[in-house]
Amino acid sequence: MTDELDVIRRVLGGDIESFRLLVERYAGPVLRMIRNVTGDRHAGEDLAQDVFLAAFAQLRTFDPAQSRFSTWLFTIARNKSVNAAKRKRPAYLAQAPERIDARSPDELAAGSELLVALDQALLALPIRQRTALVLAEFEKLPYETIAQIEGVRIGTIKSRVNRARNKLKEALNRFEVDVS
Amino acid sequence: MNHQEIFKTWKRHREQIKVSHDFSASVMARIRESRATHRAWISLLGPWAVRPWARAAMIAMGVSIGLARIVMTLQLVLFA
Repeated sequence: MTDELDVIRRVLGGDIESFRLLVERYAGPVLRMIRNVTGDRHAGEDLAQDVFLAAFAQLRTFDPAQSRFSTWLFTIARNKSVNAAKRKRPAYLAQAPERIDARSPDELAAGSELLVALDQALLALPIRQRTALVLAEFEKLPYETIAQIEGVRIGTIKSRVNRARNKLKEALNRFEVDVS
Repeated sequence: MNHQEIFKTWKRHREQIKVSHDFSASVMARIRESRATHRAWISLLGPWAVRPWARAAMIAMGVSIGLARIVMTLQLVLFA
């Protein structure tokens, strides 16, 4: 945190190359968040680059007294992902993982289909529930931080995440009924 | 496989992320490029900004572009 602020000070002081440290630290989480919110596995890097470019351009507006740098960066990433998801709703079919574990081919196929069903259920979630779930489940951010990113109260985030989890559970149940 | 295991497997699958090795380099290149463009604009417009008539012309041009964009957006929204 402290060294992060030091890096930010250096960048604002004109040492642009120091910004690379922040890019390297947050590239993974930002890209993961974008891909999980937009469902687009290929276009994610372009959008992630836009996020870092916007962060660099607006760095002077970052106030360490208001939030952590990661929260501020995730807010930019969240807004860009939501805009991208609204602009384009891809007919997304997730690629099943090559190998889940050592089960019979039938079990393996059923498992892969279940993962695809969950991917589709995630993308079918209303965008606010999706971003809240992604930040809570995949980025493991506390509700308080998510509330800051989304600009709503903690209670709202809790209810969005719960509703999203229930919808995913429903999707699993539906899938099992369809298969049997 | 119960729901919890499926959910965990799914989460693991979606948490896996590979950032391309030249990602940071690309971001830094774009930053340098945007700064160079910004500087070029400043050096181009800077000397003009001290002349009041040139400043007025630039503001008028900005306003015209803004109005044109509003009209185009409205046209898209109303007649699409």
